[in-house]
Amino acid sequence: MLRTALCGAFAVAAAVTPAVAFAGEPDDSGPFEVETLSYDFGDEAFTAPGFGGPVEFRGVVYSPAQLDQGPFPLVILLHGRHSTCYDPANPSGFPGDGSFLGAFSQWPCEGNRIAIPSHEGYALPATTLASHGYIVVSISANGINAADNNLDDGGAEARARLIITHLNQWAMFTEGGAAPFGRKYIGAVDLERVGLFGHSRGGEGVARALLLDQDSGGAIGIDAAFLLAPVDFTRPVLSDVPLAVVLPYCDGDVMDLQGAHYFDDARYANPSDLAEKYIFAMQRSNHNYFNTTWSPSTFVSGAVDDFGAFAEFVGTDDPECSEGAGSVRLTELEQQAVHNAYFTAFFRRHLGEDEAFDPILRGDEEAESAGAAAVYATYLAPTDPTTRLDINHLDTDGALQTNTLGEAVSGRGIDGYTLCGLADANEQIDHCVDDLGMLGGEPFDGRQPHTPGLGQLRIAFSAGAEWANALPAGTDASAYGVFQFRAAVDFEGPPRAQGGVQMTVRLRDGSGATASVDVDDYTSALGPPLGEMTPVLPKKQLNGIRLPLADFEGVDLTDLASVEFVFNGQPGALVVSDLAFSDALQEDDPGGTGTGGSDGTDGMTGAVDESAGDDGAGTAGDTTSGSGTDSGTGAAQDGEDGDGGCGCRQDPAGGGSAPLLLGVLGLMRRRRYKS
Amino acid sequence: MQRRGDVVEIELALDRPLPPMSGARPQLQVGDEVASHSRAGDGGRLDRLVFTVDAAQFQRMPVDVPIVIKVGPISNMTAALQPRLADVVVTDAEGGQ
Repeated sequence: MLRTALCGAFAVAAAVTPAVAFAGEPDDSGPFEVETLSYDFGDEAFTAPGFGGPVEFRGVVYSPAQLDQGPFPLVILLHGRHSTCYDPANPSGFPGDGSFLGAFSQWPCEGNRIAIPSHEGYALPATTLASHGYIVVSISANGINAADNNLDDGGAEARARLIITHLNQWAMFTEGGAAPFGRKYIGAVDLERVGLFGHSRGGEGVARALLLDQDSGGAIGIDAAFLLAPVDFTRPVLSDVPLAVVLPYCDGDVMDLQGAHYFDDARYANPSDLAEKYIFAMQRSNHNYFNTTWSPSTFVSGAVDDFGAFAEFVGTDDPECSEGAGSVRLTELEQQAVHNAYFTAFFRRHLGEDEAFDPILRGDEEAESAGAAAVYATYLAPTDPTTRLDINHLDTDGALQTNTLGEAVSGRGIDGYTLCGLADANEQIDHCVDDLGMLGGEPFDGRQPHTPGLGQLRIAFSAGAEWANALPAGTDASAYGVFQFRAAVDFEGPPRAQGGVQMTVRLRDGSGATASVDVDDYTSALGPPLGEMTPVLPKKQLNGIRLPLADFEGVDLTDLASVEFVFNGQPGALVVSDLAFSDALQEDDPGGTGTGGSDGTDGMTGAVDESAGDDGAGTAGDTTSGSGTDSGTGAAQDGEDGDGGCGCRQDPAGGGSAPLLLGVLGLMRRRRYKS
Repeated sequence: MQRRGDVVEIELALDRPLPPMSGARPQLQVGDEVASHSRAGDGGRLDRLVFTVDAAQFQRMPVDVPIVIKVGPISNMTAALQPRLADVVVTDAEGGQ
């Protein structure tokens, strides 16, 4: 709850950032000038039920200077776990002792120490988004960071309560006005368009806030969530909200990229979930550099290259992820730029209905500022037959022989054919990495982000091998834009091909006509897996592969019979999941429905034959048992009431009591596909 | 060690600071007993780790065995990074030394 320190709230005017004309990239500045303010109710103004220490209540506000042109959507940003205080007289500790020796983990800061402003580290994306007509508020949570390891959930519940309390505070700012801003924001905030962003442990705080709100009947109504390198300690399952998860390949903190579970666990959890979901896998990026306060070149204390720190512990490094000579790692600025692009595109899409960047968000194009990051997007369209037709979830043993549509799965020339990634009823994990590798004398599971939880076909193949999923007779896919699946090179497969995996996807129609496209023509996602630093690199990180159906020329998309993978390169191995037709075509989209033609390949019959080079039909491959995913939902805890005797305002704490409403704005922009 | 009611705090002195991490929660392992509730040392020192266990668990901790600090993602299998222990401070019950 907010306590008496509310009376002492004050605001600080910081700057007005001139805007430049809008151009074509999501991270280009928009038409609004951006004003930066802050509010601060004190170091001990907030306490969360069950949390053992005081927490500050402060935020920095990036908003359009022209507030009279609102109301504008509201986006709350929450940083992650980091040092909380530093000594300005000795910010880096002693020479040679590392930059974080001068930093501390306590709250409030004692003596001459001052707070590390982690919440100020997202100025670039906040300013960019604000320039497009959004009010972006980055809140501080040092008090939680100083005491969260004493809690089983790592502080997720406390962070969620903090977020909700800030949202309620913003309801006060815009509905009736409140100190320190007086009437400044009255009517300026559109509380029917609310987004959340969380980095690292802030990500799980956002997840918990979503669940708290949903458990309360959607009193606030959170419309979009962007999780940057999040932890996922409690495995919450998030449905019914547009969700993006960024996975930095060179994360030296959340090394196992456990945030992948947010996407994986939510895919089929709710059969009526209409919310779109994304993963943005950012290569050559670490955990910390998205936040300038955590970046050594822009802050004096506590900032560190997390991958470098990890590599130092391990005593080795890797040119894919380590800094220094020969490194291909992104610089701090490059990393912040690519994040800015995807962050801005996501919120403009899901709070502003700006569909111009759908190709970037879905992985059909890459943002210019992605540069060397090589962002691989994975997209899940709404669970609706007009936007997605699932072919094979690969989440049960039976999926190896019969797909989600109830049709046969077959193959030939297959050397290995198993299911991995799931946990069985006894919570025994069927790993997708055979040799976990050792760290500190114990097995370390740092190379399979989707395990446990995502069922994956682990398939090894000879040159010329094929794997097919039959479709119900007369399947009409002409209303969809793409065929898509998720895959990663199985670097343990025989052999590890120098150039990754080359494969073709072939569609066959009811007349036997076929059309094929090469995956390499659309994505480098099946290139050689990056890094060699066992046990954290390389990773079996599945990336989305999307092939426009219009490019399958000569096959009748209104009468499809099967989808077939043809491994026409060297022998190799993949992990594969989530085959689907996706994206509803618009009427003016050039989706092809032509007929005729054939590439001369015979159809396949029978189940998978694991005998290498055997073209005949055979018996089904061995399967691994287990199904389902862990899930958990945090029970909401009511906040405590009371204003602590301040008397100057009502306590806004208490977990989602403000009647904020959900809604969307319709600003239609050009689109190729709709969903 | 400090005993506060049924809670025992064990403070470990490290030879270098551990940067605060999100994905890793330090764990103290003594024999088969693992403690995962921790905070920085008094004054917020990052080269000190204070683990909290209940008295019953503390009683189960064997003596004369190596003390290991593990730091690794907990949603998956744990890793075992082992900062070199410069000192182990075990004070007596009820705040005494």
